[in-house]
Amino acid sequence: MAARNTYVRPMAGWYRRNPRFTAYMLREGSAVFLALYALILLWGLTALAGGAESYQGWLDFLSSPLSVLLHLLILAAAGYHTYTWFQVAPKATPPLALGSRRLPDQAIIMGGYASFALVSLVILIVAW
Amino acid sequence: MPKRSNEPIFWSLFGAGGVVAAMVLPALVLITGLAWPLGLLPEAALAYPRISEFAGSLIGGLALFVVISLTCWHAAHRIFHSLHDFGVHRGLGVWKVICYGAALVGTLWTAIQVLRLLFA
Repeated sequence: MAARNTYVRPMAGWYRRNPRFTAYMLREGSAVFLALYALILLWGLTALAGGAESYQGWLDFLSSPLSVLLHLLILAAAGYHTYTWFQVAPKATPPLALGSRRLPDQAIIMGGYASFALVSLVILIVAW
Repeated sequence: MPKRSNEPIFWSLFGAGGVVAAMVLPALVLITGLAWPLGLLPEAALAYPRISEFAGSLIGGLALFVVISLTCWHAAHRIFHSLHDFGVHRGLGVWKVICYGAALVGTLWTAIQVLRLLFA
């Protein structure tokens, strides 16, 4: 059988061709940083279960300049995740009725942001 | 019986993890990763007695378990489904085991630590 000569569009760097593709890749890429933070928390939890001394080791890591830089990136990724998650929430939410009208998409998005703000506030107050 | 897809299970965990991560992670990262190390929070905020009491309580342990394990499932699902976008098209069955297996290990590991703290 002769080799096919079909033109195959090169896909290298495809996500740089359109800003929407880039935004999509950033959104999906946020998962890597969320996973990293889950691991950092799990490390802290394990250190905590190991006693005061090993827990101090985790705190020392958190205080290092490298960690602060890393958490700056993680915060950006987590913030972007929150933003995009509630932006697509209307597409994943079953249609909600408000009287005889369908709840507008914007209400679902704003409801998400409002609950995020409330939860964040409670966490910050409790942590203080 | 027709073979059913297991995708709904993983999607549910992904969705639940996405909600939890969207709600709590920015605040948590801000506290543990930036505010405390930079001295914007009281030194005692992350001190051993306080955190071990929180993590050793039923509610605190459960909260940490939910946040860590569901974030693992969320990230594993997203990374697995992004492999295609990075040009990985072969051996997806193996990648699926690696991604979800890692999330499962993370979940079990978290559960063990929470139980250690609960019964300490």
